[in-house]
Amino acid sequence: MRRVEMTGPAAQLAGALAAIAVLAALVPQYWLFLGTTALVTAISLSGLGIVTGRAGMISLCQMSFMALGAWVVCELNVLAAPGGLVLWILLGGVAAVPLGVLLGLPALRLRGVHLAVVTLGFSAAADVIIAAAGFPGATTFQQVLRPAFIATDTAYFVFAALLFVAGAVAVRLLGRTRYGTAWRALRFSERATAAAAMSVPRAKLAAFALSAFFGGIAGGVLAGQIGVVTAQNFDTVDSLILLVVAVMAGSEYAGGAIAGGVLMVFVPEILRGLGVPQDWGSLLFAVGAVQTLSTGLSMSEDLVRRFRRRRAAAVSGEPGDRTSHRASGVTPERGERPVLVVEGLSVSYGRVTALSGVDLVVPERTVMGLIGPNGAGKSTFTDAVTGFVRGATGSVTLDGRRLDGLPVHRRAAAGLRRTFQQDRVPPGLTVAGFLRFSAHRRVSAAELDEMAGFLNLGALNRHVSELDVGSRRLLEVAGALLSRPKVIILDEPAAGLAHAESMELAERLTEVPGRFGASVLLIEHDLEMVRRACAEVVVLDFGEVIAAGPPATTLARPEVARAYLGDEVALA
Amino acid sequence: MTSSLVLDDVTVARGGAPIVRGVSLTAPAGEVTALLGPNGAGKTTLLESISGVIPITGGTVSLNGGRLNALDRVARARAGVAHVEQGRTVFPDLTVAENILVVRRGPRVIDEALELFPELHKRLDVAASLLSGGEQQMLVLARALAARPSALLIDEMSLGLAPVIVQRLLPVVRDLAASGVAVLLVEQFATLALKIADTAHVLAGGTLTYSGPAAGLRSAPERLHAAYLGEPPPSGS
Amino acid sequence: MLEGAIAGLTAGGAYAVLGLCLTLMYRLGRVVNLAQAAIGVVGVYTMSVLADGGVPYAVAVLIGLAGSALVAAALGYMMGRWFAEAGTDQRSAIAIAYLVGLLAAEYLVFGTDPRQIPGVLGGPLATVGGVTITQAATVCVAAAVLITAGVSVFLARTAVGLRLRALSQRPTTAELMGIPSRRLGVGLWAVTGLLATAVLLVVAPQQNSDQLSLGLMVIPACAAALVGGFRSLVGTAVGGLALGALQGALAHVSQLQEFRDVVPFVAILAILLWSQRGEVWDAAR
Repeated sequence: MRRVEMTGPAAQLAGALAAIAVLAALVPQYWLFLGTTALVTAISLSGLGIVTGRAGMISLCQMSFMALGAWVVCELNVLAAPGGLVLWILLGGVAAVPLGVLLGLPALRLRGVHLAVVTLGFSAAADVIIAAAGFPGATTFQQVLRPAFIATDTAYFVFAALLFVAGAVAVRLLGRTRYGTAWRALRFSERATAAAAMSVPRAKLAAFALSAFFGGIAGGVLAGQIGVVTAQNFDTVDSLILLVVAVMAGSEYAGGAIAGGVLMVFVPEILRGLGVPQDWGSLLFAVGAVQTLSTGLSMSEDLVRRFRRRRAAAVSGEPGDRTSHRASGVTPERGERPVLVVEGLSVSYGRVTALSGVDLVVPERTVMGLIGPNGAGKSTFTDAVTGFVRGATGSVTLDGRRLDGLPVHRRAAAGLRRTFQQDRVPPGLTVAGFLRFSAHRRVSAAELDEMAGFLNLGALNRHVSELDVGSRRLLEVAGALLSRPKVIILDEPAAGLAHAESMELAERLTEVPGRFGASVLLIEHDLEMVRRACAEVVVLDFGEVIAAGPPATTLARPEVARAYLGDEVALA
Repeated sequence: MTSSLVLDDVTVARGGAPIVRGVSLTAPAGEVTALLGPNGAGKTTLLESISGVIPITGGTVSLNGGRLNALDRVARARAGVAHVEQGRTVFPDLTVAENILVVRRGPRVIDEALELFPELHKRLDVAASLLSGGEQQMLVLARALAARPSALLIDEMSLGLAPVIVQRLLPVVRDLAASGVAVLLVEQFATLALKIADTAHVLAGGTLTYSGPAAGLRSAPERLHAAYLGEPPPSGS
Repeated sequence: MLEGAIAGLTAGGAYAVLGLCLTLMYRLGRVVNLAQAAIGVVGVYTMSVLADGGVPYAVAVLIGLAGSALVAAALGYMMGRWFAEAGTDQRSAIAIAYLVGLLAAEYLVFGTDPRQIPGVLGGPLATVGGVTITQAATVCVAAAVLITAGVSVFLARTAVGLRLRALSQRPTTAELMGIPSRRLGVGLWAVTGLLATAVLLVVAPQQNSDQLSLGLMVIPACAAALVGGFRSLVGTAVGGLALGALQGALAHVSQLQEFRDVVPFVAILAILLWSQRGEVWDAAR
């Protein structure tokens, strides 16, 4: 393992290039050849790292993608196609993409485990097809031609290593894009991913496609390395082992992918040298994967976390205080023009009616409270308005635009954002990473700083996993606000906050219409907070609106007291 | 020694944030102890820590003198804790009879469990998912009784039920306690719980802000109103 | 072609029974157990080694069954001990690690050379209208039907079945009722391990029986379970038998013969595409 002191990406890149040069110069030919195989495996593992490590879906046919890549290279070689090996390898990767998408389609909307079933089935089927069809040039022992500059094994090792590094850099850059963040997000919560205006099917398909691309590239490099490819190079079992190693090593990190590749190639080699059956290697990997999953930490994550902890210890000293003791907010005001109009919204689950004919209008630049006892239908209302409930009747109009029938992410993109009652902020991200993802638009560092100051988010480079629940809730609110929504529905944002912090949040919410031009629909059980933040409240009970108006008068009404305290309560 | 459920300085955290802080209370056998408080005060969390759904962070829970802390939820159930969760958690695809027999089998089990709910007798072979809300709540109570618990934790019994059904269920809870069970009743609708409770505790912001006879709260509804509808809370935290 | 379809029912019965095990494990144990067939292989190879060493067939079978039940119970114990709160995806990933580990262990213990598995159901049972019906096919179909019926009755009528159903519907509530989820989980693994072994003992002598091809019989079993939506036992059994018959029939069409093992994948693809017409929001996530 490399020393972790080298921090910056540029330093890491330089280190990797230096390591390649040193290895190529010093290591004997035989081991270098095995090293190339390890790199091929590492490239393939990087692909698995995207779909399994980042997006959290089990894919069991990485070897089949490799076989396709290798097949394309062999075929182009036999045809003596122009462009040479480097181009052929690229084409092999491209050819695997549609296959990856095709296999991803059946698992888009179902649980991730269905992808495991379909990919395992494909892997076995591919074995059959490959065995029947054979690789082009295999029967005539036609070697894949390498261009002169990578003709020697040493040069080819360097070539494979550079490809791996390029892949690692690409994955790293992609990891910062919206898609890259979306993969980590959907692993944690598909609902939250969609609520951040990201199409879940598209994010998943992108992961499958990229993973297949890496597999295809790896297969092509392998074909160039060994010259003549046969079906034995791509077994179903190897796909299974590849997954197990990816889990164990944590192949979503470049270091994990390399470690996995080295393990998969050199462990059997060492066992062979010792005269021990090579199957001990697979057994070892299986045990390692079970161990990894039981602790929740792969080899890479373990290292990363230790490193992070050390760094956190070095830079700590900022307390988790979320109250700023800033000046209080503004007086809540009610706008006039309606921005969110809900008419006749009804939802029933079987025989239970959760919402019946709810009408609600949120005016622009207004903080409105939606309250009611437990089970009154507040969360169902939020789900139905934002598109999570199938079979809801009635209509939802945002700023004059009908949203009925639109999927969740389209409603979110149209400017209707929500937060969740449960913690749904993906722990694998940094605070800034989450904010940029949730913003769904370009945000400057200054904007992030301003938002961090507004809601007391603390340092932007901290990881979400270091935050407590209360801070995560505020972070979710901040992310939704950054997207410049027309309306933001906050589902109990103060759960997990201390009383003083809730009141501080209430102050800030009063400023939201003025600062961000958004209306807020606040679902909250802390009525003191509702009184402070809202210009108007709507009371829901048994799925129906029972009262609406300014907080002071509405909360004093007897039917509201009855809804909260039980019936026939006599209040003076 | 009288049998009872005793909480001593119990603290419970969720995701690192303390939800319940230093709660001590006793629910004696034969009585209904009401645990009141607004939404989000930590009532459900406290019940869950007693039955072992979530771990206790600090303090002790004991039943009839035996410490429960180290037991898992299955062992606690066998030690005599029955937890009626929020939301009428019947086993939806099992019939009424099966829902009860899953707890304990025997010739008289169903009759005993339904002694207080005769209306369920004629629906024994109906899948629980097809019952009305009130019937489901009765079934969940009957199922808990089938285990012959020493302590019965009831979470938000009236949630989503029509008032007339709640009126029907309240005396039953009273009768249950009278038969020697320690009942800890969590209710958002305070006036309902106070009708049948002997002792009441008000939980707000994770700590007890009132502990005393239920009659004390019945006669001073403004205290409750403050705790629920958010005039400045008494402690001024 | 009909003869092929009937011959295919041997494998079809195995798919059905393995599929039943998968469905049971998914419904009651929250895992897609891709190691299901590999667990059965433990018993089959134990039996084979013992029988080759002179142990009477019946005794060898009993020891084999006991062996795989024990292995399954151990794997189930680990699952319950370390992954009790984990979701289906993660538990299924564990099952894949189990599969890799079991295959490796089986190579280490039993060697890598293919074996001829001894069996007693060799010959034809009857010939009806020129079509031969083998003993093995009869036994496998009968086993599929009987096990489907038996498991259904077990779940519907017995105390343990009732508790298992309760656990599958509301695990936390069931535990709060004092239902010992871990012990029942271990039992579930042991019983499905036993069933998988039993059916593999019948089919293994009839076909190419290296550890890998037996272990990967879990793929057509998955297709069978998908026909039943990983819920319906009858659907699973029908799916398994139909898949086997289809494969058997294709084996008699010379152009397609070598591609008959692609059938399970095509079936899986078709069923999954059909079953996800609507957008589904997983309530938990």
